[in-house]
Amino acid sequence: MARILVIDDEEPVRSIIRRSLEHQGHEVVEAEDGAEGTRIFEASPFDLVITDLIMPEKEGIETILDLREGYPDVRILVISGGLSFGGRAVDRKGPLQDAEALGADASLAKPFDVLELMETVERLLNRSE
Amino acid sequence: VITLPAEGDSTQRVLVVDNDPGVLEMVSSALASDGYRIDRLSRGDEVLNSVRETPPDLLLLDVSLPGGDGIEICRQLRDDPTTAHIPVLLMTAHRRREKRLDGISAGAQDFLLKPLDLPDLRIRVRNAAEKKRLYDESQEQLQTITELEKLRDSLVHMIVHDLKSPLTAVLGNLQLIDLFLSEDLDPNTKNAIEGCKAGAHKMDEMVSSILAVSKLESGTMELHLEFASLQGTAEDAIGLMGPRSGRVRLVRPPEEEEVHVSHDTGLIQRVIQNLLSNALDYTPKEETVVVEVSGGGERCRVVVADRGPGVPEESRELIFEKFGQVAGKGTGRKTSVGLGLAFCRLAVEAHGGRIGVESSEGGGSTFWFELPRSGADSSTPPGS
Repeated sequence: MARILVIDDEEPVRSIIRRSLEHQGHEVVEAEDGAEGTRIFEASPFDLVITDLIMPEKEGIETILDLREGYPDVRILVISGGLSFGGRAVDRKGPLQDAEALGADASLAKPFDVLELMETVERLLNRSE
Repeated sequence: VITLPAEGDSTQRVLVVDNDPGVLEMVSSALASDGYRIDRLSRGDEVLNSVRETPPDLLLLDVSLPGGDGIEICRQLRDDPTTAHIPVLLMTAHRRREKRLDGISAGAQDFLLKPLDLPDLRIRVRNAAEKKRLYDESQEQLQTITELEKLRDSLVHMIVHDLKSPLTAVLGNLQLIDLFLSEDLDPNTKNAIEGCKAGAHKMDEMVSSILAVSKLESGTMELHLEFASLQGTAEDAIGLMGPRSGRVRLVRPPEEEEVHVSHDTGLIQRVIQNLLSNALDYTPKEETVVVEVSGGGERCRVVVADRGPGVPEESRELIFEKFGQVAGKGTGRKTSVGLGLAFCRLAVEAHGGRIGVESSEGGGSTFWFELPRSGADSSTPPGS
């Protein structure tokens, strides 16, 4: 079981991620934006952070940079809207790729496949354990 | 007597500058009676400030002024982008040609000789004022268009970031029902859930098509070029067609020669998928769609041949335009947003390639596209 922080300003999206990952036996905490996410993370660190990119308070890229600086070991998964067909990003120089270049470990385009989300999370969690 | 039509726009302002009070009075009252609002100045050194503070629509400027030379003032107004568009009519008693040429080359629109011929002046002022009005109007329209373009861009942004999340919610929840409740569901409910999923996936495709077309049109889609096998890309595209891929036959080039060409594999794969999806929609269920990749000569070619009703000749260009769907005949036609082929055209053209269709009515359609062998940008290192 791992502790996972989900940062997204859309409640329905957070809810899907939470229920999918709780189903896998993980502990999931939700945050509405990058600012709240960073606060919650700093109070008690997590194994994995799943973050959106476009949010009203403190965007995803900024959040990723801050987390990477303070916690080099945390695994980061980015989930965001972007140019994708059937969950496969087409615009391969888009924001998801920028996020990976800036320190995210993996990315999924919205709408994502729940099974792919579960697989990606397990892969990231098992990587350094 | 020349009768001037009352075309002077009452909202247009004319600034008259002359140190002779008699000329000022005569010109001002003539132009005021034509409906212009008149401001007056008698010194050259007051002109620039006045024009910058309250820009007139037209400037009538004497060449010889106390505190400043009219031609020099004219030049300074032209050099300042905030005043360059204001037409200047110079007035002078100089009859010498050089002086007139000086004035015109300083940017004056017209040259009026003193003593002034009032009817002549009124016509010239009217023409210059009309030109200025048309200029203002076109600037306003340009601004409206620019604002509309911004609005369109933010609309596309809205579509991407605000529709993707609810789509995630719909598809995600349907998948969670599958995962958690699948065993408790009767076949009818399962079918209904599959129907919902298919609809949401279709909606996602439409959203992505709109975004892709918008990005390709505005030139903000960067190609990710790889020197890769075109058959490989076609095979990937066929593989992604799901159960329908059983009705697709891939014809390889002779001698099993792989056609390698610089292309954005993600985009071209999507192009082939769109062509295949159309071809399968129009081909009777018991027949197959043929995909052929060939690479002889300067260009590499992909052909998708269907057994559908064919595309009427007058529609063969239109179908590659946005929303250019042709009114269909028969019942096999599906509705779509009409962006699939526009996307294909834009994506192929972004590679420096060409796309088209050959068709004989009743004999099926052959959609083809070609990519230049030299690559859209051969300077990009392979696999970057």
